[in-house]
Parts: sequence; structure tokens; C-alpha cells
Amino acid sequence: MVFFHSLYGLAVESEFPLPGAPPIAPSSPDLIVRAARARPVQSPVTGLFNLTQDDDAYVFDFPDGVQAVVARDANRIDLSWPSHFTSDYAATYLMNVVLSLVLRLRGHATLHASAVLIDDAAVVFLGVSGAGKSTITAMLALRGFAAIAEDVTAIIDRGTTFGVVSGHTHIRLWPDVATLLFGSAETLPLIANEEWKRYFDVSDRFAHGTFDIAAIYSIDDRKQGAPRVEALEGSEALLDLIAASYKPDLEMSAAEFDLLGRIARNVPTRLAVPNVDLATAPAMIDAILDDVRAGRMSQTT
Amino acid sequence: MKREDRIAVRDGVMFNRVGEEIVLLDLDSGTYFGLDPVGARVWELVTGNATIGEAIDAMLEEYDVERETLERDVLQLVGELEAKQLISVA
Repeated sequence: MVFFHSLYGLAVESEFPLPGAPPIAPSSPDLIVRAARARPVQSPVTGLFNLTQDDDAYVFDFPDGVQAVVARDANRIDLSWPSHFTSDYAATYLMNVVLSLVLRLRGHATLHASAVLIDDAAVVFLGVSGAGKSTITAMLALRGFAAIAEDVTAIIDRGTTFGVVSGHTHIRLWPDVATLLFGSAETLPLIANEEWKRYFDVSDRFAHGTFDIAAIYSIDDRKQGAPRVEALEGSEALLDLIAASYKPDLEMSAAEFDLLGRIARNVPTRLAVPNVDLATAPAMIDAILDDVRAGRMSQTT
Repeated sequence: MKREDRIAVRDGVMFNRVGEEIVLLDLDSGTYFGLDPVGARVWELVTGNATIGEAIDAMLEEYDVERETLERDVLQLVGELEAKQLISVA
């Protein structure tokens, strides 16, 4: 049995379901995912993963024994996992860091970011892990705005305008955020390979397709006196884009640096500063929506 | 370093102007270097075929600054860029 999904504009054929990946009718696949036997691990895994290369593939080895082998032409992933895990568990790796490499090999810049459709255009939220990208995405989804991408955002390069293409529908939330939004963290299911994080399935409020980017918000450290939105200009915008560029253990290429520079020059980029108190998150959302719409107004007048 | 010295951007170094600032990327080391608006103007002049002396003369026309201060700042920046192997001085 095989499963067909749409992920970041790719038709994906998989031997097992990919949780959160929108299902599609059977079609000629751009990417094939197979359960496979693991290759020997080349060196002890330190940190989040090891990424090694050989003549035909990139090999991710994760500390818990999950392995993903990405073909150099980015049309196949062989995934293996220890027998005490499930395919759902292993697939969680595939949905972020592994897929970001696939997209990169296919020529897309990928950002550690989420994206939401606000007034018919994409608004992108950048930030390090824990910054609050998923919180903002989930809160906007609860206010009726469709999510486009979570954690990994692939950029479509059109020269001086840019698009994002839809990803998967599972927004990962920490328990305190889940409690804030849903009253109890237990309301949401646990992510397969997480002890704490849960996911909010936004498949009923999800935007499928490619959308122009209207604005980018870089999420700053939480501060007293926030929330607020500030201008982010000049090299700061580019440096934040570089910091958010999803490049698993591979150096940034000249083409990616050029692309990020064009994004920084052409897309309004702002700094969203959340408050240290999570309870003020709704005010952060209000400030972002006001800022998005003020920016839209200034572009049309 | 002398007034008549010229600057060459080292192979593998790219730069990106955003507004009045510039970000340099060393592709070999993967490191970044940000230039503020004044540093960006120095970069623009010295990588645009001006000698270091010509760049200082041009900036004296553009900025309200003492020559001694400007010379010190420009030489310090060029020295820093050279130390980080982003440029070569000849």
C-alpha cells in the first residue's frame, strides 16, 4: 500500500502515512519515501543529528537510531527506524529537517519559519526554536486565518517578489501554549516522538498552494514592556533571514545569499517583540495584524 | 598600509547591500560581517577601484568629519577586513 501526499508543492508517494501531510489522489510522484534497512552509522551521533554524504546520497543519523537517506537528486528518501518505534515517529524527522534538505537540493531556499495567509497574502514568521512562531501561527489560525506552513517554509524566487508554498497541517505547541489556547494541553494529541509537545491539526483551516509574501516578521526575544512591532531595516533584516535559513550542516551557497539579500531589499521585514508573559500573546497578535494592515494600506496609497 | 594601496575582494566573499548597510559573507568560512552606513560607503569606494587615499578624500567631501579621525577609522576598518581575510591590500 502506498500513500500520496502534497508537501511544499511536491507530489509525495510514501509507503507509510506522513502525519499532517495533506492527502492527494494518486499521481506521478516528485518524491518517493520508502521504509528501508539502515546503512551502517559512520560516526557517533552528537547533537540533533549527523549529516554525512557519499557519492549518491546525504545520510541523516539521529540519536535515537532513526536514519534518513536522501538521494542526491532529491527524488527519494529511504527512512529506517528501530523496531520499537513507529513510522509516525520516524516521519516527524522527515517533515522538518530532512524535507528542508530535499527542498534545498531542489533549488528552494527554506527558512526556519511559519507562514499564515492574511488578507490573501502570506505573512512569514521567522525565529529560533522556542521564539513563538508556532504560537503565533496557531493563534492566527484560531482567529480564522489559514496556515500555510509550519516550521519549514520554502521560498519561491521570482526575482523581486517571492512566494511561499504550503507545507503540512500540524502546528507543534508546547504544553503551556496548548493550555493557553485550548484550556488544557491534554486537549491536543502528543507528537509521536515528543514527550511534551503536542500538535494542533489545522487541516480545516489550511491554505493549499503558493502565495505571495506580503511581509516577514522576525520574532525577537521576549521583553518586558512588549508586545510591540518595530522596524527592522538594513543589514538586520538580512542577518535575521540568514539566521533563519534552514541549512542542515551545509554552508550557505552564493545563490542563497543573493536570494536572501533580494528578499531583505524587497519584502517589508519587521521585528515582533513578544512579552515575557505568555498571557499577553493575544495582544501580540493584535499588534501584528494592525501592522500587516497598516503596511498594506501604505503600499496602496 | 599606504594611501595608494588598492583593495581586492577575496575570492569566495560576497556582499549584499540592504538599505544603507552591507552584509559580507565569506563562503569558505560561512561567517558574516555587517557594515554600518559609513562602513558600507568605505566598502563601496575601496572596492570600486579607488585607492585608500582617494576613498578618504571622497568621504571628506561627504561627511562632516576631521581628516585625522576619518583616516584612523578607514584604516582600522580596512585592517579589520584584511585580518578577517575578506580583502587583500595591494
